[in-house]
Parts: sequence; C-alpha cells; structure tokens
Amino acid sequence: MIEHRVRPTRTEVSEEASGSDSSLWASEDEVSLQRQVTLLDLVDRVLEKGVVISGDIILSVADVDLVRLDLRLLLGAVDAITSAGPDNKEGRR
Amino acid sequence: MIQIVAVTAPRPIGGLETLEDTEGRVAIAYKHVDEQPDTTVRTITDHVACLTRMMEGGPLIPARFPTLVQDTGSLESWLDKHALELAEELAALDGCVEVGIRGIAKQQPDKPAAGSSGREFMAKKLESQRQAESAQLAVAHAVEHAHQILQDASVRSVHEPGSPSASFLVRKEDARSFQGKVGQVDTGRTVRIFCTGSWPPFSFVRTPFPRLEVVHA
Repeated sequence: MIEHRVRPTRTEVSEEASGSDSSLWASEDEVSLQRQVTLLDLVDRVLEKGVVISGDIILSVADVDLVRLDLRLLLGAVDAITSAGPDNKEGRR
Repeated sequence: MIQIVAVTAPRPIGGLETLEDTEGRVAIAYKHVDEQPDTTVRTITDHVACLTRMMEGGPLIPARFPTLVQDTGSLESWLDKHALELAEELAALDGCVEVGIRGIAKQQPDKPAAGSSGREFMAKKLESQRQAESAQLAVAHAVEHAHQILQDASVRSVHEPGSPSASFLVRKEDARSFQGKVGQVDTGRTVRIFCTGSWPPFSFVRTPFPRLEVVHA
C-alpha cells in the first residue's frame, strides 16, 4: 500500500463572507449571493473528498448551507479514513 | 508525485504530460508536483480553468482536486485495465457539460437573543433550531421538485434525496436554455433555486481514478 500523509489544510471558500454578518439567507446583493453559491457549488464538485481529513479542513462561507457542505465533505473523509485506518472500528466522527 | 488532471482521447495538451494506454484508445493528462498542492480557492479555480480549456479540444473525464499518485507505473496499469470503459465514458460525455442547481432558504432563522432567564434563552434557541431544520427540509423538497421537472431536459442527472443540490449533464449547446428552465421552476415562497455552471462533468465520472491511500495525520 502506498502511504500518503495528508497535511492539515484550511480552505477559505469565500473570504468576503467569512466572519462577517453577510448571510446566504438574507443577502440583498444578488451578484454577491450568486457568486457565493457558485463558489460553494464549485468546491462541492471539485474537491477530492477522500483527501479531506476531519478537522483539518475548514470551510468558511456562512450559515446553514455551509454546515451542510462541511458535513458532506467530512462524511467523505470519514469513509476514506474508516477504510484506511486500523483504529477506527467505531467509525468516530 | 503526480497529479492527475483528466482522461482524454490521445492528443497533445499544452502544459501537461500525457500517457496513453497500450492500444492508444485513451490518455491520462497529468503533471508532476513536489508535494500535495494546497487546497485554496485559487488552486481549485485554476484546476477548473485548466479543464475548461482542455474541453475546447474534445471531451474529457475530469479528475477531482487533488488526485495524486506516486508515479506513472500505477497510472499505466490502471489505464490498461480501464481503457475500454474510459473510452466509452468519454464518448458518453462528448459534447456535454455539467450544470448544477442549489437551493437556498430565503429567510434566516431567528437568532436566539438573551432572555430574562436561562430557560427562556434555551426555549428561543430550540425554536431557532426548529426553524433551521424546517428551512433545510423546505430546501430539500424544493430541490427534489426542481430535479423532477428538470431531469427530462438533461442527458443524465444526479440527485441524492435530502441534498440541497443536484447535477445535470446537458448538451453544451443546450446549457443556456437549460439555465433558463431552472429560472422558471416554481419553488414556493421560502426557497430560491440557484443555477451554477457550466462545469466539467465532475458528477458524471463513473470510473474511479487511482489515488494514494490516505493515512490519518
């Protein structure tokens, strides 16, 4: 088996939305909102889920839809880790 | 270390190296990297931009980012093993792009403000969570509804029940009219459906790419 140790990484999905009061739910800026959703969708499609390690990658856009995306990415990682790791019998999350 | 970019028909691709299967049916486009690329907005969009340029020269099977292998030896064996199905997959994707939809709730749940007591605060917090769950459910229903309406206008589609998004494979020349159809879907007063793309057909890749085994750091 080829081993590859994944470095912790942080993914900033949208710097302009991170840590601000702007919201995917109530934004009045249509262009900005479309841009955020597009970026979110792009990341969701493009990222290789198996490489993502829980806790090592932080997606920051805003609010509930982000959480959903984060969970999906995290679940992908857990699948990969569970199949590769010898000490994950309980499927820790 | 090698980063796989895509599988294509055998052809020269600027800036990338290619490796054909022994019968010359398909080729892998790849590049050498010193270490695992950082996952940033820039590296992700660069990857997609590269794929988009490659699609102008013909169909491709896009690799997600980053798809890494140790050396070309593992690529050769994988390519020879899967060349036939990859060629069929390329033919099925020829002339097509991926278009996405994503539902977003219009109203944000009330944020629990400090109450006169801890009990009151917890009650407000619970109500806020209920609103969020209700909104997510509404989004899932709206996307499900939109998917049912739009799937007939696509070549293929992918949607997981409960997901806030769906993906459609559409002919390149139909992408604009498909996006217009998305705008016509009635999703009620509480949910907006956004259309994204067009993208390389990430959601319609059937043959898993080889990759390094991941070890938890």
